[in-house]
Amino acid sequence: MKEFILRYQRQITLQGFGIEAQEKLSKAKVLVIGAGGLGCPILQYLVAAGVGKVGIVDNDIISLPNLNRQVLFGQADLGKYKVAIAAEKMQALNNLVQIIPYQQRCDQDFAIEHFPLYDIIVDATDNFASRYLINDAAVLLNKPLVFGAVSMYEGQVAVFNISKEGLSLNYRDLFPEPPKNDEVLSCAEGGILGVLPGLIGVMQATEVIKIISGIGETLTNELLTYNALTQSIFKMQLVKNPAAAQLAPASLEAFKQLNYEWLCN
Amino acid sequence: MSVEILFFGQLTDKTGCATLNMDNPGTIAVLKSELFEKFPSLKEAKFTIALNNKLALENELIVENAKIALMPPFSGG
Repeated sequence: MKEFILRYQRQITLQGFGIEAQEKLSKAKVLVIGAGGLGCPILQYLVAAGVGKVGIVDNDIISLPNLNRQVLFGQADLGKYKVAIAAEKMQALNNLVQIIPYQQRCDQDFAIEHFPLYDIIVDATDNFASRYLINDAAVLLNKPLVFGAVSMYEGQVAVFNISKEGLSLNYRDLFPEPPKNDEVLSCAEGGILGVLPGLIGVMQATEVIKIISGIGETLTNELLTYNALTQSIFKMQLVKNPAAAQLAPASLEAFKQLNYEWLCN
Repeated sequence: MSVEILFFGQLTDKTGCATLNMDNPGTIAVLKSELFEKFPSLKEAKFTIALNNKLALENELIVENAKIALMPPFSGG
C-alpha cells in the first residue's frame, strides 16, 4: 500500500483525482490493439498511471522504419516481436500492473473471446480492416472504444460506444463504409512525422484515464482532428447516421461472416 | 453570402488548398456536386462533412456564413 501511494503520489495529489480515481485505475482492464506508433505511448502512459490490467495485441516484427516513432523499441530489438518487447518493457516499468501480451492479429474470433474480458478497448491499429472489425465488435459487445488514427501531419481521436445524452455512437456513424485501401495512404506510403502518433497516442491514453476515473469531459460522440503543422485542433460533434445501421453487422453471427480484408481491398 | 469550406488530410492534395470561400450552395447535396465539378478527383475520395462543427447528412440545409469541413478517414497508426 505504501508503494502504491508513493508511486502514484503526483496524481493522487491532484485536486479532483485523489485516491478514489487511483483505485478506479488499478481495478480497470484495458485492451490496447496495436503496439506501433500509437500503441507505444498509450501503453507507456497507461502502465505508468497504474491501470490494473493491460492487454497488448500485435503480430508485427520491429523493423528499422518503425524507429522514428515507435519509441519503446531500440536497434537491438530489430526482428523481434513488438508485443514481446513492449510487454517486457511495460512489466519493467510497473510491476503493479498485470501485462497480458497476445502475439496475434485481432480477428473476429479474438475480439469475441477477449473483448468481454476488458472494460475499454483502444484502437491503435494501422489499417481500415482492423479498425472496422474492432469498431463493429465493440458495438456488438457493448465496449467503450477509444479511437486514434494518423495521416502524415494530422491525427484523429474519438470515444465511441459510451451513452451520452441517450446517444451511443461509433465509427460507422462518421464513416459508414470502409474506404478501399488505395483510397487512403498508409504511413508507409504517405509518410508520418514521428511525433504525431506520440501526440495522438497520448490523447488516447488521456481519454482512457478520464473514462475510468470519471474526471473531465471525454470526447464521447465527438471527433477531434489535430494538425501538427499549425498546432490547431478541430472538433466535430457526431450524430446518428442512418447509413451506419444498414452497413454494420447486426449480430455476432453476421460479424463472424464478414470479410473485413475484402471490404477494404 | 458565402460559406467557408475547410479541407482536411489528403483532401488538400486534391483541392490544392486547405480553405475555400464560395456562395452558399443551399444544401449539402448541392455543395458536393459543386465541389465535384470544381475538383473532379474529390469524387473518388471518402470523406464526411461537418456543418458548423456537427456531422451533416445529405439533405441538410446550409445556413449563411456556415463553416463546412470535409473530413477524410485516417488509417495510420
